Amino acid sequence: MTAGRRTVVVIRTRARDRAAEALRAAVGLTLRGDRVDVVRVAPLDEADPRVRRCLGTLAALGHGVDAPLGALREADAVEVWS
Amino acid sequence: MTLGLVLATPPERGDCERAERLARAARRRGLEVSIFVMDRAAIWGAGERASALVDEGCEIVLCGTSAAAAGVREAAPGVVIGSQDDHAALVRRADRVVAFT
Repeated sequence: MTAGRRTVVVIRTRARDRAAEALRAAVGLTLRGDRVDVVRVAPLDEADPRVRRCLGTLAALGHGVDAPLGALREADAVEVWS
Repeated sequence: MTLGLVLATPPERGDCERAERLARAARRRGLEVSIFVMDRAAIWGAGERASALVDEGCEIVLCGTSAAAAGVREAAPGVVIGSQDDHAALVRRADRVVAFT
């Protein structure tokens, strides 16, 4: 098994549904053992239960939920959600 | 070498066509191409353009949750209905990933 890779999910949309989908994707990206970091270029509505649930899951699994832009330098893959 | 594409934007944004061109160019060069379709691109995954890429040797997986949300009852012929685990698998095994998100 190859060593875990690092994926950064950049959220730069203010649209609630798109942000929720980006976070759902971020949670999904953890399923094969890779490290996931979420970079918030746009603010997230943490009152949205979908956002809260995904961020909670990511945090509970030890992934980054508010990573700095510098995380991009270490990334093997990047998804920018706009 | 494997090129992974993640497609999550609505067709009107033009990314579906860009992904198709990129996939075809990669296939012409002999690369394996895997595409994960989700969110607002789900409707593309139900169409003949997705089938055409499958016929040209691309692997296409459509997120089942996104398909259901888009009212897609059936994927295009050759397109597999999958999950976010397939998304993770694609990103993990691809040598390069281009995300239209």
